[in-house]
This record gives sequence, structure tokens and C-alpha cells, in this order.
Amino acid sequence: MNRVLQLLGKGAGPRREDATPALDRLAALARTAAAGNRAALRTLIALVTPALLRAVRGVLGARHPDVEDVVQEAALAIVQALPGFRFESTVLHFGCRVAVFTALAARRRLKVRGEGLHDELELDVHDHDQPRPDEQLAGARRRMLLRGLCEDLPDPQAEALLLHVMLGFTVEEVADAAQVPANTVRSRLRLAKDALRARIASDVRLQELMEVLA
Amino acid sequence: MIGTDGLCPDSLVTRARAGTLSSAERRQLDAHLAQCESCRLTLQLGYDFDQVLSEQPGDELLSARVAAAAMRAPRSGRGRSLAVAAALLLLITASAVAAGPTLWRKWKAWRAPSPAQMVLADPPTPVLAPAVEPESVPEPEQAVVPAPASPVHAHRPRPSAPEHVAAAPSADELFASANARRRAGDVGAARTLYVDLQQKYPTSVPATVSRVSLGRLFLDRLHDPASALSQFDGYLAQTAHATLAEEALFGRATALMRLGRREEERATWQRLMLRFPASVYAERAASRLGPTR
Repeated sequence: MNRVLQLLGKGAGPRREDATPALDRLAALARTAAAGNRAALRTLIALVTPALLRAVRGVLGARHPDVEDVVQEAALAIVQALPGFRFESTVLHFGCRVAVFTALAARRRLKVRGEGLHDELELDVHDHDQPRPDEQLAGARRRMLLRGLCEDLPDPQAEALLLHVMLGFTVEEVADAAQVPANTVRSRLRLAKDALRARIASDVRLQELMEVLA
Repeated sequence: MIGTDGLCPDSLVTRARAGTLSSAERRQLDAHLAQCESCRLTLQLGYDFDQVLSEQPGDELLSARVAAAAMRAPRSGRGRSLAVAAALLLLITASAVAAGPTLWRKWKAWRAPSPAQMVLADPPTPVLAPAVEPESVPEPEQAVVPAPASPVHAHRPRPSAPEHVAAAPSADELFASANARRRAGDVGAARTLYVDLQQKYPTSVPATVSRVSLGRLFLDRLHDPASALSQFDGYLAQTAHATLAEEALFGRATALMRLGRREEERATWQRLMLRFPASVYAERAASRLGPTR
């Protein structure tokens, strides 16, 4: 978790006064929680946990058996980091960023220990209106490639890719969460997507699937 | 090709995933996608993830457990990141620790090959073979559960082989194994192991705690609220262990709600609020008490 907290601190510039993004309905609650109100903290964690869950499932795989543990780890990291949170992004985006870093660290730990990552098991977790099994398979393969790539990318690029592509943050939202200029995020995304395209192009199985789908 | 730069309408890509584009914006995005491979890739991958990141059954309970655990865990200090568990998970961990390094080694050996194993061209048989045969499974309900390739089943004693009875798993081992199967998504095996634990060691702490675990399993995964209710009631009826009373009351109320037993459900929510006024389930209790009041 210390590594996660360090990463959260990266890129933090001088604190901007009244920098809380508009429409952040959790900001007041988070400020109360950061001031030591445990009831507010409990409510805050309960409210952000679904977003943490989505982020952790995205990085680890929807049915990975460690999802709950990693979400708890992320929730604890939020509790610890909250007093230093500058409210320069929304609280939810801050939480998602913590969850992404926590899950990425867990994924790298699992890789080092040689433990399975359950990417392939996601095939049976899908919407019932999902059209074709081969499309699901291609999607699962692309997800797997992106996750695998993020194990190897530099943290800032992996963060940008996961927040933007996986969780659907806009470039500006990623910039706010990471506390860097939007053009820096664009640059990181460009590099990360170049690497992803190269990985997709070299994946024979995915290319075969894409041929089937074409 | 336009790259990921200021010319790309990334907010349109994001909103396309959310399905909130107007028809004019959709045309604008389509025109851009026709010439921008980067945005096509972003959108495709976004849809790929959206397929699997929707809410799943049981998420509400999971969120409540996470919130409860975050509040119970130490709030500061280095190296505390692994001290993240709800009361249930704390007990699970405690049980695993109590079982000692042997259990840990068995679990790790089953769950992940050692580096030495990984370099072997032909990996060795899991440490704890042989697997149990169907006729050796004691309870009828276990006979219909496919035997998972887990050390637990491999360790289960055969009734006809007295020399193996001495190696029967302890209550802690059974509990840890059942939890491992549950976390791995092997619901049938988890249920079998929890039942096994409760039958073999009915007065043990793991068996008591397992009533909440199995209750949750019946409620969230097996969609059997009547059996869930029986498990939660079993936990609440005893007095030796009360750490999970909040969770058991929440589970009981939820089971009663699903069974349509409104008055008993209402009484359980009130009991929960009376005993745990700052409960993380308070909002849920209030919302349920409103219409039934």
C-alpha cells in the first residue's frame, strides 16, 4: 500500500484553493470524513466501493478470487490517503485511481508469484444481449492483452490507459485525478496505445479471431 | 491517422459508451472514427470492458463488507495493508493461521506452482492426490457435487480406510478450505465443505462462523433464502461468538425479505438497528422499515 500511496502523491502540485470540481456530491462527505468523522467515513467508503469494485475487476478480471481482498485493500488505502487528498479531482475519481493502482500492484504481485489471473474465465460474465460468442472471445482477448500490457508499462502510462480506456474517464478527468496537464495525459495515452496496438498486431490468436469476425 | 491529441473528441467516445450521444454527436463521432484508429481502439476496448464490469449479484453485500472492514481495520501505520478484512475475513484468516504453516503450504501448493514446478515440462501431480471417489463421499448431497481438484477433497478420509481417518482435516482446515472454494467460485464444493464442517465439529468456532458464510452463500449464490435463514438463525442462537452478529442480522432480514415474511423481516431490521445503531446497513434497514411500518 505504501507504493500505492507514493504513486498517489506523484504529480501533485501546489494546492489550488477551492479547486473541487463542480458537482462532486461526495466532496462534503469526504471533507467531514477526512476531519475524523467515522460515520461519514463509513458512509463514504460504502458509496465509493461499487466504483472500486469495477476498477479492481477491470484490472484483475471480473471473477478473480482476490477481487474482494484487493477492493478492501483499496478502501483502506483511501482511508489512509484521505487526509492528504487535495480535492483537485472528484472523490470518486480519486477512489478509482487508488483502486487502479492497488489492483495493478496486486496483479504484478500475482504475476511474480506465478499465480493465475483468470482472464479467460470472464467469458461467462457478460450481458445476455451480447451477440456472438466469437465476439466475446475477441473482447476477452483484447482485455487480456490490455491488462498484460499494463503490467509492463510505466505506471503513468498504465494509469492513463486504465482510467481512460477501461473506466471511461475523459482525458480531462484523468488529468485532474493524476494532477498533471491534459496534454501530458494525451502523450501518455498515445504511447500506451501505440504499445497496445503493437501487442494486438503481434497476437496471432486475436488476429485469427478478428479474421473470423471480419 | 489522427492520434490521441487535441483533435480527438474523447469526451464523445466516453459518452458513446454511456449511450448519451445525440444523433448529431453520433454522426460527428462516426465521422471521426472513420479516420482515427486510436479512437476506434479506445471505443472497442471500452465496450469490451463494459461487457464484464456491470454489477453482479451479491455486490451490495460485498460493498457493505468492504465498508465494515475498512472501519474495523487499523487506520494508520506502515505495512498494514494486509490487515484488511471484514470480521468474517478476519476470522477466516485467523483460522488459516491457526491451522499453521502446514495448511498454508498446502494451500499455496494447490493454488500456485512453485518456481521449481513452473520450470518442469510435465508438472507433478498436485501434492495431495489421490482424489476422493464418489462412493467415499459421506453425505448424499455431496454425491451430486462434482469433486473439485482441491487438496480438501484429496484429504477427505475414506470411511473404509481407518489409516486415513487419523488424517481427517481439522475444523480450521475444513473452514479454510471451504472459504477457498467459495472465493474460487466453486459454490457447490464450498457448500459441501461448510456442511461437512458443521456436522463434524458442530460446537467449534469455525463451524459457528461458517453459519454466516454458508448463509451468505445460500442467499447470494444459491438463491435459497430458507436455507440461508436457517444458517443465520443458527449463528444468532448461540452466545459464545457474537462478532458477526451484525452480518447475521442483515442476512436474516434479507432472507426474510426474499421469503416475503414482512413482519419478521421488520422485527429483524429493528433488532439490527437497536443493537448496532451505527450499522453500515442502517440505510438499508431504514428503507425497508419505511414501507413495512
